Amino acid sequence: MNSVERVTRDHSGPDIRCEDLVRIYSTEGSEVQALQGLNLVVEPGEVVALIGASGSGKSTLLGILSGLDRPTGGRARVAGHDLTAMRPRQRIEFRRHSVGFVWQQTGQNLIGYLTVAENVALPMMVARRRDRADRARRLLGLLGIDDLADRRPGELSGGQQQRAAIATALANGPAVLLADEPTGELDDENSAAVLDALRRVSETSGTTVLIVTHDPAVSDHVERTVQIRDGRTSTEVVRRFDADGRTETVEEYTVIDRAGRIQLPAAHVSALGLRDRVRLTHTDDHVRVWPGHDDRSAR
Amino acid sequence: MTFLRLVVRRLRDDPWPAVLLTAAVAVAVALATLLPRTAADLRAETLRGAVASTSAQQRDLMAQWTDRPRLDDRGADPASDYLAAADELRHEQPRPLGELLGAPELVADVGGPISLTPPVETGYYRVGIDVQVDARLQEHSELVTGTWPAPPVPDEEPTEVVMLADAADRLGWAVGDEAAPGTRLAGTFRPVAPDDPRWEHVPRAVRYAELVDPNRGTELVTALYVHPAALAVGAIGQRPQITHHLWYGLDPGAAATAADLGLLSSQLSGFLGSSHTLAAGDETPEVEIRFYSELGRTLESVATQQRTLVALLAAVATGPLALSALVVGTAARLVRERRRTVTALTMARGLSPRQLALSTGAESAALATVGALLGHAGAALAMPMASMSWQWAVTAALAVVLALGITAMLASEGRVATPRRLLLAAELAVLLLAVTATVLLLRGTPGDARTDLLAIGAPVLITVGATLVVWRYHGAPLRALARRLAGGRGLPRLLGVLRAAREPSGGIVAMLAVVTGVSMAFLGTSLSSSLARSAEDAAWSANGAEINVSGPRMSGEIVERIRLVDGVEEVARVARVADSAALSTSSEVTYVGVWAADEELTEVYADTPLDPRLPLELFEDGVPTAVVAGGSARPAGTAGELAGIGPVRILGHRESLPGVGTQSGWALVAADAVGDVIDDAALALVSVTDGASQDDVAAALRAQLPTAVVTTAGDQLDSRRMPAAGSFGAAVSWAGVGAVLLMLVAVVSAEAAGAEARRRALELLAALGMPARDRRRSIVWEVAPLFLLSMVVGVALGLGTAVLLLRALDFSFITGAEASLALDPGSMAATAGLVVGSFVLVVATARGRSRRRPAWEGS
Repeated sequence: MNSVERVTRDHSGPDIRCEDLVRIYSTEGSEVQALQGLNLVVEPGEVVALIGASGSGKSTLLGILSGLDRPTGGRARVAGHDLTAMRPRQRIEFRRHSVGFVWQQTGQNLIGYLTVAENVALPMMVARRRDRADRARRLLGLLGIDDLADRRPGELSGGQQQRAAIATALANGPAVLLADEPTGELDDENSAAVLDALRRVSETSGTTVLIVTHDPAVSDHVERTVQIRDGRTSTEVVRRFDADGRTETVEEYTVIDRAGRIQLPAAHVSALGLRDRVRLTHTDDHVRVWPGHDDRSAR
Repeated sequence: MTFLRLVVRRLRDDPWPAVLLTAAVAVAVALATLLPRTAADLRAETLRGAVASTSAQQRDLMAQWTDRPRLDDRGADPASDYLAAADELRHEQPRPLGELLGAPELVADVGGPISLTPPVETGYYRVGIDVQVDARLQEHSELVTGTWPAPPVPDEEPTEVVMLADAADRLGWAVGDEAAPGTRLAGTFRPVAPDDPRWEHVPRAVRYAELVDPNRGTELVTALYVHPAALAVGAIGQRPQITHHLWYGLDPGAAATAADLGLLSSQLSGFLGSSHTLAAGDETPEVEIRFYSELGRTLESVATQQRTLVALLAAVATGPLALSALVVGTAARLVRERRRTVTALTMARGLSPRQLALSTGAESAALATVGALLGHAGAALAMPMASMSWQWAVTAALAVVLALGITAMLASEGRVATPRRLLLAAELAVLLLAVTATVLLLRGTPGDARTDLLAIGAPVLITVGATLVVWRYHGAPLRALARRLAGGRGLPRLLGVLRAAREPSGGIVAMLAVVTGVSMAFLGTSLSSSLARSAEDAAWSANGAEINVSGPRMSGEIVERIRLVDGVEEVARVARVADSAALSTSSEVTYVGVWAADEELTEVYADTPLDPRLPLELFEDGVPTAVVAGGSARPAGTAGELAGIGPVRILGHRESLPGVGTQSGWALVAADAVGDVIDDAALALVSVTDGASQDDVAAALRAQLPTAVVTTAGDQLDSRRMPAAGSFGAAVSWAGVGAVLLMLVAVVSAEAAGAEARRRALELLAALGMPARDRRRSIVWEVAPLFLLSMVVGVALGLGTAVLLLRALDFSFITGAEASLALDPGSMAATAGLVVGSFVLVVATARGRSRRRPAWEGS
């Protein structure tokens, strides 16, 4: 009854691929480089959290991935669509069928004068899909709020609203679901429920989920967490869960780009007093990084 | 879930934007529908008034011909044949002329004039009698005594006649008497409706005349009416030359329905310019006739009046019309702002711009249709008018245009960036057009069609141009004000002024609305008061005093009788001494009409608003004689000689001598300077005592001097009043009030559309610790400078446009004289009060809307 069909993809490879993505904002005589050659790959069915402080470029990245903004340089492909070369009509189709969005503000995701079921049906109506009512019921069932189908958003709690928003975002069966701070206005309990719902959706339908947040706690609920800093991805944390959903192992990685550049975690830099330049030594299976102390006198 | 359901749900959830939009469309359509209705009403009223002000003899279409009766026409009825043929000719005429012509009438002189000497006891020394046929006499009269006359029999006497009962009574004639040699009085009659204009063509059938000969006595003039068959066989045994007088009566009421005056004029010209054959029948000979009438000249003058009135109406109405369009625009903007979040969300979910345009287009079409129907129905109820069915097409076109405009507004992002150069070029083009239109308007000929057209366009262009200039440069004074405030402690004032200078919430729409609304309100007020004042001045100028008495010789005895009338204060006679006399100075000779006046003239004039302030020395004895020159006579120097008077001292010059029919140049001297001439004066100007009624005194003077023409300034004003003046004044006043109300709605809507941004800014200020009172004060300082600036520009524009129109258009048919700007303090104060009240309301609304406190601040 509550089952939804799995996402069908007519493209191969990752659902999200960003290569050297650059976005520069120009304002009255000054330029702000929000993304500075960002690289990111998200495979189909993955649930990835993109974590970064305010101004790190995560919202800019989400704007580009959702087709609402255009990169200044680099390449970005989402669900097989090259975002740098899409025409307006293709962007509309992209938004209809390939991506879904969930925003931070609960009131921003749903139309207040429509019921929950009508909100879910709206994107299908826009896309002229026929089985609207039935699919809306199944999506609401998947998210555990089918009993709230005839209520208006104002009659729901914040968590219920976000789950309704997730159902709305999945209405047309997108390959990718983009969520911008989906738990930003929720308490811990509701946050956990929403994040679990996103993971369940991914497992059930095979949807790729990218959650953008500044909340490090989100990483406890996803397999892969990508840290974004100064407009670039810096580190990744991969978490493995056991069958009961409990964390089994946690591994932290630093991202290396195509030019071989890596960004060291801030904690390491600070602890070792790394500055200006470092010494690298190569061994058989790894690279060592040493503070450049010998050079201090030379300066 | 369908798009229709989505729209319905949206309307149910938040109906007010839709209601506002529908109401705005309804107002715009109602105004657009009312304009042609008002114009048609004014045209009709002008035409009706002009036609009604003419006599039947002037306006009716008349024709005359003569022939002789034939004795062998026994049994023929030429009158009926002629009337039937004339009726056929009438029905052959196209609309609107054919509808305007009344049933034909025929009167003929078949004998006379006959002179009789009546018995002495009648009091008349002679009776003058015409013998006539009035073909429709029996329809319009009723017998008082006897019977209607039998058809005359050739060579047999007497011929039966009827006559006016009053005349028969006056002469002591009874039925059976011989009225004139060869006649027998068969009966007497009286008109059923003595005021019927037809009697102007048959005056002796409604009243007899008394002609007074000072030497011989009084003659009574009347007419005898014989049977219409006399046209075939003659009357009183005679076969005279018969003069036929045929006419079509014109009904002034029916004239008003002639919507197309140009067409009517051309049809009339064609009808009057060609000959018509009355093919009367086998027994009545054909006649070739040509009609004549003075109606054509009347129509020409009416056409000019109509064009000027409609041009003026259109010029005044463009304000409310433009404002109603602005209201529709701001309402649509308000709706767009309220739906911005939902629209953004829906588009993010994949709604294409085309789908958005389609859904908003359908919604706009529905709202515009409902609004247009309501507006049209409202206008039709307010001003019902037949034969305006074409207006439905106009309403439909308006609904389509407004629906498209609303769709464009709702479907747009609201951030249309117009290239700066293009904007500047457009502004310059508008300014250039405004200047060109103004110059052409001032150079144009009043009453000319092109001038009238320019009179509509120039005010609009000037208003738009001025608004653009103010919008472009309004920042400078505001920034200067901000710099001044920056040094002080008034932070709310500074913040308000800065926002007004950099990001006013109402935008250019609010400014345009205020400039247009205020200028139209002041234009309407100043035009109304100027026209009213000019008409009053013309009336006073014609009357010259509170009461003007003319006609009889104003001897000392007559003046004394006038003085003795209750309520009379002063009496001043004015006599014409010479039609043309040489007024010589050392350098020139001017020919002037010479007038003499009693010295009471200064006091009589002092009680009028047009006191020419004659110098008191004018009435002082002495040599040389004091004289005041006037009109076109402007002698150089103060000493000269006036033919018939001698050496004169020229005390000064006056433009006019109110109440006195001076022409071109004139000179006025004291009555004492011309001996007894003043006793031959035919004019006396009279002032009344305080508290006395001019009308009562005038009535008493009429009773005292039955042969005199006695008029008050009020009588003069009434006789000059244009028939459509009331409707026109009402239209102008309503246009002014409507402009202010629409301005209010437009400004409040425009402010409301920007209220969200202001609310966010105020929340920030609240978060920074600014007290609520200061936040509200900042709103006042944000709204006030722009409103006041626009208001000042609006007042200047309104008054300037009034001056422009008064100079460019010919209003003499309304005022009776050249009109100039005259401001009535009362109505100006009322208009200013309305505008200031609007300002207070706008500020109060803006304050009220942003009074909502941030949640964290508590209530």
